[in-house]
Amino acid sequence: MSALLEISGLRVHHGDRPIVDGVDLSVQPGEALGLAGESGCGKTTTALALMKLLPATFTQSGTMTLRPPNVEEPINLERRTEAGMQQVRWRHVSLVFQGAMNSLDPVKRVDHQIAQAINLHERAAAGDVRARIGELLTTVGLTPALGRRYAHQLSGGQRQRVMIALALACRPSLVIADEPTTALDVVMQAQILELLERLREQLGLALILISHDLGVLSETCDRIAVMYAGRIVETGPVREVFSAPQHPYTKRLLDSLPVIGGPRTLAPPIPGGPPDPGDLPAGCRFRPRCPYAAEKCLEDPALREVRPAQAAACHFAPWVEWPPAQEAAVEGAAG
Amino acid sequence: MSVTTAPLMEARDLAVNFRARRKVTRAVDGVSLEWRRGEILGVVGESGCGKSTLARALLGLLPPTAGSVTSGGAAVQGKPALRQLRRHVQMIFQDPYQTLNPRQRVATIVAEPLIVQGISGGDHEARVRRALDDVGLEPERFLDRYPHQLSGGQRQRVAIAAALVLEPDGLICDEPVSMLDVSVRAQILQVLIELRRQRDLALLFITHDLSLAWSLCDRLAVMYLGRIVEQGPAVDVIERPQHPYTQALVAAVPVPSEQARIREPLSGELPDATSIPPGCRFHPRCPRRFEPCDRVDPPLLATPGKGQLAACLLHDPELAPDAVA
Amino acid sequence: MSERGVRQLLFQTWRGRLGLGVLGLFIFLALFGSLIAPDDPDASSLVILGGISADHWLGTTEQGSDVFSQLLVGARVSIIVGFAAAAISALLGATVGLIGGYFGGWTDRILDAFENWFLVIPQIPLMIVLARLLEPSLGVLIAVIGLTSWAGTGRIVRAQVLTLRERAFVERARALGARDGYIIRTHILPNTLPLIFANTVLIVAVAILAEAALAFLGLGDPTRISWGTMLENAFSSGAPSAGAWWYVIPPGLCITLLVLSVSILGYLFEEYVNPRLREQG
Repeated sequence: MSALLEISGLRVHHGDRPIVDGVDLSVQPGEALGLAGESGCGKTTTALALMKLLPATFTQSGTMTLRPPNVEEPINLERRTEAGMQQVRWRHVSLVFQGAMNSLDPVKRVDHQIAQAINLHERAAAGDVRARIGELLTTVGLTPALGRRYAHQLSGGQRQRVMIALALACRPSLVIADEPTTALDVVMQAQILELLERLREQLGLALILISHDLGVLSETCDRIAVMYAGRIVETGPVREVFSAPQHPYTKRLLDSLPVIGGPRTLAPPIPGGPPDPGDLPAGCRFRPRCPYAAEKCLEDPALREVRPAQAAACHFAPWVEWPPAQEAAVEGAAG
Repeated sequence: MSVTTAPLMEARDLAVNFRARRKVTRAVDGVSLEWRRGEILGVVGESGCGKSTLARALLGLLPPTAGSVTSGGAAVQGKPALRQLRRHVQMIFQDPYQTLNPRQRVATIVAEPLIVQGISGGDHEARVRRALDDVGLEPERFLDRYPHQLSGGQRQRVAIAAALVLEPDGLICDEPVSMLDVSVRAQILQVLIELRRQRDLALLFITHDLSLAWSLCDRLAVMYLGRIVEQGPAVDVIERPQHPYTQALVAAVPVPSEQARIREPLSGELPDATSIPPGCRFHPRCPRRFEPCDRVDPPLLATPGKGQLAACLLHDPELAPDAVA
Repeated sequence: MSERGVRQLLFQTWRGRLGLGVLGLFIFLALFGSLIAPDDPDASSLVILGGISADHWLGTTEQGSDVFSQLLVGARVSIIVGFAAAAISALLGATVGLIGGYFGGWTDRILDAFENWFLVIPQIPLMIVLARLLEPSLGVLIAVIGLTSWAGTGRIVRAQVLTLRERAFVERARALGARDGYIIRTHILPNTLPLIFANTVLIVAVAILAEAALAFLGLGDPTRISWGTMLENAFSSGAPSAGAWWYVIPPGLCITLLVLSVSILGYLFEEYVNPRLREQG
């Protein structure tokens, strides 16, 4: 089965600062891929680059190939002009932006906004559009009557559902959701995640879920890619990566998450902070904060398969056991 | 960790109402709470449940509509009492990007409590430096900086330093790490835990993150629509929740573990605090409601857990003698 | 506003340099105009509405005075009135905005009504009436212009104070037990000053124009020469129909240039202040 989406060698620069520095990703039809990482690692930029929505101050290179199910020829996104991209956006790939629930037009009713999205991409009769809106709202778990409301009359959870309905308006095969549950509390979060899961089953939707919350990703995703300083440092099936991480960053990140039922002590935090894109360390980018750093790490590790279906960018992977960590002496340990 | 008998602060039947155009929002609707010295008390709930309002009422930032707040036995009312209270209890806020005055340097920000409380200026600088050291910020590097030169984690540390400079007995933390990245979160929590260990600092930790409450808190209070619906030792409340709402909250927490979890998230949303349901306020969403739940408003009742109370009729021996919650 | 940021804005953008340059020139004239003027601007001569000549670079007025000298000296009035009126407006507007915005409740409602009254009154007619009722002098002019332009500043300041009042660092100060006066002084005012400043600079432009308009309508200080009075004299003596363009155009041009330079600077500051506000907000 050929991949629905294949990104190869994606690089995004802001001036001379590399924000995304050689990212390879692939998504199979109907698969949910999680893109994990902390703020500044480049995950949102990757999503925007994919949709070619970055402002002109950014330059990007690399190939991005889309093979939607009902389309003959593969779509080479990197070659598309703006006009060409407008044909692709929303019809084949759509994006739920970070904080999107606050970007609904406050002076238009919800159904009007969904109708707008549909009409921009398709010629459909008004009656069909109305029916589709009702269908979409029901699909995301809202009563169609809510379409008559304005954004401020809906709760945070409802607005997020509307954003998802909007993203589905033209029946894309791939939806990118950037931090879809960040501003929501646990219960609403669970509802939204359950909704995304249901949508995947019902519509055969492929999903790229971007989040810094590893718990959220473990619930919904099949595979996960962990990003650090513009690069992917680990990929693999979610269960494998979380039970047997192969990169020190992933491991430390998982360790720092408190888990109910687990030990009640908090693991020592990762010292320092991610590197500034204008001032990247030589060799492995995680080296200054890595408790296992050694001479070899001055050489840039490539992302390679270290266990079946699991790849990591670390010279010392595969890790079977994690030795006791020597805390790295880090400048500016206060993050 | 010392837990002496006199609580640091206590609320009795506290109510805080907001009035806006004929509608009354009962943000805090009858809360009785004990915050003991040296303990980390967690307050957990969905957004809108009233936890932030509770925190502000405790500190005297909002006047209580009913009930009382006492500290060390004395009522916290009237300007002199409030001023006294604020030497002993301080607060840190959620958004590190809003919590510092952008026009002030770190030195001024951290010294502010000393100035406002009228403490003589002799050793201000020494105290400020000590406070910065305590939160892991090198005074030499940070005293002269402005907030826009600091990261989110650093800003939050400055806010904590400012709260510490008066050497309070307790710190109310309103979601102090929810807006920070995971690794920075861990750093800030480590600072707070160290402080508790070194100075027996009590923490009132408000959060919606149950996993955090699990690893951090000694005792936990779960709030729903202005009331505490369950309270007790944190581990017990989370491992063996006795109230259906707590059970739903715990079930909703995503866990990066090996097994896929079966989910049945709680349906519906938190109702508006202007129209609180009759009887038990949770009953419309409760998967375990039974006949009396829409008439009788349960107080906190004893449960099988030691020191654990839940406001659920399933624990009422008369109304539900055979129920297993 | 950080000092470095402001300096960069003023000296490294062409707008900043242009605005500063032109304004600087006029301020220089306001200070030294009377010293460098070739002739006594009040001195009359027999050359009535004379054209450009070696003696009179911009010709002469209907009283035979040197237009060029008058032009140089006229800068003083415009600058003085402009800045002084703007200062009054800023002071009044900022105070009302701060008090109303911070304290809210009835104080705010009363001050707001007061402010609305001033906002709604048409400026020029009010100025005319007031100038009529009171003896025309620079002081009156400044007072009148100041009184009719403060309400706009007041509105903006009030809005800013309303947001600031809710910010966490203000709440923190209250949680410490800080008193209102302290909070206003230490937290509210410093964060409002950039806005007040940017707004005031724009009011300077408005004030200069207002002075010119009033002077043109004959309501200015008759003992002082200003560009507005020059225009008034020019028009009332029939200079335009006499083709004495050197009398009519220069004062108008100077007013325009001065107002333009101040406006450019004002918008520059406003632009600088606003994204910062968004960043902080």
